[in-house]
Amino acid sequence: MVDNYGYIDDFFKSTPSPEQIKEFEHRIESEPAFAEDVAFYLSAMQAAKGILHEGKKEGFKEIYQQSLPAESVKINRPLKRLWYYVAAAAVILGIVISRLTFFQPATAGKLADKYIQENFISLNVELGGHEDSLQTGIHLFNDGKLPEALELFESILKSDSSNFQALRIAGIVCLKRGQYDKAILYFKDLASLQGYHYNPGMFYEAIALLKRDGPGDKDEAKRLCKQVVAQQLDESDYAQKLLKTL
Amino acid sequence: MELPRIVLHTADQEIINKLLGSGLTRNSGEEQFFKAYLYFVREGVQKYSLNEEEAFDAYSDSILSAIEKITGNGFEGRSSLKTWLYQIFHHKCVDLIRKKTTNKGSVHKTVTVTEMFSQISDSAKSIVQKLIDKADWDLLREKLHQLGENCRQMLMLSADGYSDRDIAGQLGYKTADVVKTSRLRCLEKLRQLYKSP
Repeated sequence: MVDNYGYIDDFFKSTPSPEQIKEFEHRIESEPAFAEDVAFYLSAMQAAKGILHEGKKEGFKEIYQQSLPAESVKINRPLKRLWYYVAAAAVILGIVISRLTFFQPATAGKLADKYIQENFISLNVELGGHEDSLQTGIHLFNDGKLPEALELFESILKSDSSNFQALRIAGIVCLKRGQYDKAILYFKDLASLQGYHYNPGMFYEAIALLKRDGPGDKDEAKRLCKQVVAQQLDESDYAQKLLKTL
Repeated sequence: MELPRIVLHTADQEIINKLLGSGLTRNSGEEQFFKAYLYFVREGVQKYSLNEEEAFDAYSDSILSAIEKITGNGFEGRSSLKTWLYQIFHHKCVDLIRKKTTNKGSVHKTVTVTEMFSQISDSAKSIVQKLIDKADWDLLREKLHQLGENCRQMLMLSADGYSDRDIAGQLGYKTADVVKTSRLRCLEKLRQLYKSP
């Protein structure tokens, strides 16, 4: 595998000849495993670049924040004498507005993050069947051993696919691990369970959709939040908050 | 007809020279470049009716995209740095407006193969693109974070266009060959982490 990566790396980091390009294309078309290696190489590079760019943008944000007062003064330079007090007021107003709105925007995504941070740190559940396994799974979750916790809850679901707590926590674990597709499926199943005095399945699904943020996800999250509010389902207050930002 | 190259401003040339360097020189070039046209953010608000955060995002993305082109020798010097950057910024703002009006999320970015290797035939590109479309980006990022500082740094610097020799200098490896071997092992380790349950 490393040999393949060496070959792929050389291809992308040099200027290949027409013969080398032909051979590379031929291998993609005739060797599925090689095509997968190429796709993984490019995906990994792109993901690494994404992380790097986020870090750089954070640095840019700091520079921007530091420049705000000076920048505001610069805007008014031609009319500096005439509008001195107006400019000073604009600077103060700019700082206040930017503090209030710019770096603390209440977007749906940020509200979803806040909900996850505030509600999914550690879990307590009322136990039904599978007490021992559920208890163990919750301990694993609370200890941050998410892959192990997920494995356990999924094994419970294999024998009891409508286990309320297993569905709920498996969804939460997937959400925390960034496995949004799976989380959405678990929460959908959770929402379909009837007869529980507390069932936040539909609201959780909306949160997972906002985190996934794929095409059409915001619209679907909005639809679900509206339904949660209209039917006064669990977490309807928070759904109302989210709706204001969607 | 090919446009002639223009003589760049001394300040622009200084920025470009720094960006083509490595390590601290390049970092200082990135900061200088970012500061030089910071007032574009205001233009984003005034001309494109973006809010300040969106205008800032468009400007930051433009700078990052421009840096990538400059370090990959994609800046041909046929216009001033400012004019060229403004064109990139304009496109970013228009993209943002389009995303807003079509209600599409701005964070979700599809990675296209064409951005990465244009010289490959369409049929080969399409095979790789289909595989890339299946990637779980969140999981990949999570695994990159689990990879360990050295590996992550190596992959990030490589993705940012640094040569193995530059990486060796920055991270204290003896030779470029050692970096290359370690970097490819890191990639393999990342693949194993990504594939593991």
